Amino acid sequence: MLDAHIGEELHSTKNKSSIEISNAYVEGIDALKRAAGIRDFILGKGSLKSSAIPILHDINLSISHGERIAFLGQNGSGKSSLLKVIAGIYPLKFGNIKISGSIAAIIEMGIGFEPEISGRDNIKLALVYTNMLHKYSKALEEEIIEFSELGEKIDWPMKTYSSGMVSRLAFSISTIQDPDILLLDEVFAAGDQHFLHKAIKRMENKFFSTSISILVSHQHDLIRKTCNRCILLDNGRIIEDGNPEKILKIYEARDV
Amino acid sequence: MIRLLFSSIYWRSILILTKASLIRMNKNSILGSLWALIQPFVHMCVISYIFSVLLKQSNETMVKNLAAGLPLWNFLSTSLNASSMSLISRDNILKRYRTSKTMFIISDIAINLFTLGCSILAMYLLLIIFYFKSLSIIILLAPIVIIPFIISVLSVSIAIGFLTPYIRDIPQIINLALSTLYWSVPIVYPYTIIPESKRFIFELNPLFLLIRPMQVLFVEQRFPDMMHMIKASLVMIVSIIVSYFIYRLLSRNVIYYV
Repeated sequence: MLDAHIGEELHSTKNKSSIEISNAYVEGIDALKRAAGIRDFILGKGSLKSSAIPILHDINLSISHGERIAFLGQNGSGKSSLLKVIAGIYPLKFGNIKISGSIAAIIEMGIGFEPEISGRDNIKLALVYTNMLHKYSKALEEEIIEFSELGEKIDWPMKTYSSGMVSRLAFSISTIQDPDILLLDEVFAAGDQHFLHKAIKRMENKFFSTSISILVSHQHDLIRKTCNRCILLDNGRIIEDGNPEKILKIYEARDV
Repeated sequence: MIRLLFSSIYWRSILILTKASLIRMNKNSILGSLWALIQPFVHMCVISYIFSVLLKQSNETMVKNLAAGLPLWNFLSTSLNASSMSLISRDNILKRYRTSKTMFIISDIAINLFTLGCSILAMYLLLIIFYFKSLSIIILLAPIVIIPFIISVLSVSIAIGFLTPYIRDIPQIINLALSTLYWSVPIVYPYTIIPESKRFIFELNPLFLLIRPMQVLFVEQRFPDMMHMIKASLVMIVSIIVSYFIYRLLSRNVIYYV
């Protein structure tokens, strides 16, 4: 019932979903050059003033309904940062970003869980983090519990869970969202062997049914299978943009 | 941020975060949150016993002064310290979810507010046990009298929460400032022992102005004068304005510093 309701909401906005980024420049701070405190500063172990380092520059990007995009590049190339810019976690220093549609960013699952409280209470906590608390209902909670297959263990403190159980719950909560724009950072499925098949199926469904899906991944097969556009980043810049087969060839050639 | 303060979801989120933190804090305790009541009660009982039995001094003013000031000071101290770590200790969450940062700071203060409530309850018990005859029912208005104090601490805590990621020595600076300022507010000594000619110096201390209404309520057993409340409210307004500007200045890029 609840899913159907959210589905109706989405249907009306989904074709208008878009992401427009122009001349974006993102600057972070170089934590290594900054003194951890006044003592370190006096001992000459760093500066008091933080030095800025560019994370992303000259980003111009236009994404529209129906696109399933992979961000590709070596570690530190800016893939995750660009994803966080789109998610609204990292602000731009210069440039513009215009997003139409609701966003769900699954960057790492299970972060912020409290081991002392029950799985049920952790569902609410996770909904707080993802700004989804307004959608909380008993039906939604039951849907998450049912998918996670935790049964009565949902009322046990989370510290008693195995890592597989934690992954199952984290995955079930993260994927309950039905956004217009889905952002995934190196996460596609989680859980133990038995759960993995179910998780991949759900994520594939989400990925294909969402208006815009963006994936950061090093799994070339996954990119070929799921994406229809690929963006290659290097040193914080977009250097190639095109169909996955072509971009993966360029990337593989550079990698060699 | 101002819009968020009027959102019921925002306050429900804070409640969920606070509840989770309280459970974590009391995880290995049988009495749990009851300790927030027992600790200040025992502490004040010992002080009262030393004065009245061992030193054979009927220092009622001294005990009432402590009962009024100590819970507020502890709230101030623990809130400022907790808020300085609110964002830094949650860097994992903040870098992975686009979520309100202020709700984490407010939830940390809410835990201390709960402890303050328990402490004030403990002080009521203490005053009933030791000074029942000289008590007035007016002391039940303590929660109203301390509103400017609580709002001031809350606003300053939000500013500190956003300031610490930029200046990592803030927790040490807070501890140094609090240990010095502790003696500038008449908590362990009554206001009455300060010479009339020196009292104007205290009037320049915003902490004194915030704590004073509670001391008047407990020590003099009367509702504070209008002037006391106006001064406390003025400190509150200045705290809100200054903290808001710090928040506006630092909140945008704080994610890169946590």
